[in-house]
Amino acid sequence: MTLLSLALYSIPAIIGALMVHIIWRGTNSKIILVKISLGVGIGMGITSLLYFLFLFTQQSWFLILLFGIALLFAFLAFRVWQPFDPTHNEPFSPLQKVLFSILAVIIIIDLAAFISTSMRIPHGAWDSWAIWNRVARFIFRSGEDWQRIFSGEFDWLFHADYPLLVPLTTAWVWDVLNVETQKAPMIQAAIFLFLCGLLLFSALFATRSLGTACLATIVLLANPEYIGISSVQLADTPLAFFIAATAILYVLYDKYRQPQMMVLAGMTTALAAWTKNEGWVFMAGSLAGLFIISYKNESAWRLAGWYAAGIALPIAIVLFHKLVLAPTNDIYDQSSVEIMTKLFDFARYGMIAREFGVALFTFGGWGFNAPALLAYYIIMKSKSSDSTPLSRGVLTVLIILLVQLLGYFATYLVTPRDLEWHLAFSLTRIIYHVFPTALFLLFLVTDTPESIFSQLKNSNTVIQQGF
Amino acid sequence: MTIRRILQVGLIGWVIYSSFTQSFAYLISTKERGSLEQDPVTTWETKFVRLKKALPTSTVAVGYLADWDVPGITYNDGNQYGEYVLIQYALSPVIVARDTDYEWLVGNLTHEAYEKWQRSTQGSFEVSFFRNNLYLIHKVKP
Repeated sequence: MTLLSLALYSIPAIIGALMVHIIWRGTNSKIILVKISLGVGIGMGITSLLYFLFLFTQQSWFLILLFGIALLFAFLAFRVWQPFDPTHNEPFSPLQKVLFSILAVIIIIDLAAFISTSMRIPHGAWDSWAIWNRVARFIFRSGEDWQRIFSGEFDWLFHADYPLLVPLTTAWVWDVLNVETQKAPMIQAAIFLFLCGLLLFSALFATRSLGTACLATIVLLANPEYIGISSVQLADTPLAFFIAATAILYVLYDKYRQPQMMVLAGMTTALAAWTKNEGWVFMAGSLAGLFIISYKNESAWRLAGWYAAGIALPIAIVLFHKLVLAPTNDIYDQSSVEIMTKLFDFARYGMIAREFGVALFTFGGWGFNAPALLAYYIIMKSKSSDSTPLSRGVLTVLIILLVQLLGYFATYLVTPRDLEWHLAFSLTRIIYHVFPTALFLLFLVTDTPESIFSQLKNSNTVIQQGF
Repeated sequence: MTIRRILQVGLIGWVIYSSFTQSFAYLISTKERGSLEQDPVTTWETKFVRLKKALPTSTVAVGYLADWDVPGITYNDGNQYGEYVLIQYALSPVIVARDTDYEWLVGNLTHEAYEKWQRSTQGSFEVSFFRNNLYLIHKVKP
């Protein structure tokens, strides 16, 4: 079942990678990995949207449909195919080889931790039973009556309004295999665990250096919160992936200036909203990012048009789910008086700010919490730095992070649940949503390990010459 | 070599060192997630096999009755929520509503809670008892 599930998930991965290559025809060899990582995530998301529509047909030829789409995209990709430009002919330095080897070891440790966790708790953690895997079970077991997942009879604990990317990605594999195997959500979790790492690695390899890419990915994959949350079949890692993917696309647009990349940014934004309700908060950040990247740009409207082309269809399906099928979210299931009372309760502001501070200080154990990342920035951002200046791309990522955190702050302000309980059970996870994006930003603007060690080597040479 | 360069090199070394130690520590800590023999959710699900068979296949939703619904019974709030979520997971695709206004009720009651509920409830019920404090209650007459 493991191999079969893996084989099935490779179909949307191929579809997505081909689609990304058809839309964004850049041939720089440094972006191949970026395209693959974006493509796998987008492919998984688009396939879940397709399966959502397919459920209405009550048919059983979804696999044939996927094969058909894969063949079509392969044909289209072949038609637009151009050889990639070899831009990296230099051999890797010893430092790069060492960092790459360390990254390989961390990946092996993560894989072992993932397997150990999955064997001990194959059904995942609380939210996996309560929401993601439960919905997948309802869809698979209910057959034609799958819309039962939206029933108003569910207790609020089960969040019947939550978006469906993760449960549908499990359910379509069960449907095709006609077996309810836990290997499907496990493999889905493993894919997003390592995909987020690949995205960060490839984006920093394309924009900074191999050493920076290795170091940032080591920090991400070694974070106990990251591996812990990613291993238990939750939707937080896919959401973190789509947030990071959108931010990275804005930065890459700033570098490569290919407007088709905005199509992909539109898609990843819609897929964030299809993954978790927090994705709707991210939509505000993504639109703010689009505004910054297009501001005083001659082709601003064209960029917005490309973005709209990418977001339109997926977001229409997501809106259909949200407005027509899903019950009201519990946050909106309260009167405006209740909401206003909470907004004017300043003790809530203090409590949320304090808890945000604590979470930022303790996130990721003793290794990579916010003060550690800040210290990294202060030490690694030198005046003679070769690092990226405050470009529009960097500003865009900063704004995305800020809007996302402010959106979460506002959500806590009006939560209908006990605030203390809500903060205790979700704050670490929501900080985790922006962690890969924050790491991307940090390593984008700081010195590369290569530059630090090359200057070190030069200064040693000077000292030796002096003697 | 400036102090900044020393700090930068040291910081990279620290990042790598802490990455290794954290990764290993996390890998070792996964043992605390439970046994490799049988996970708690699967164990929980096996308790429901007979109850699920006893429930008519056409049932779309059932009510749920637990210790927290019986006045005067002490209970652990966290456990009650946890068991409720697991019961919903195990009984999927049957909706388990926190309401007793259903033809079929699933009872997750200690003996004391069941006795108390039975004494205080009006109406006519057929009750099937399963092991592990589980009851399937069929409302015959409201």
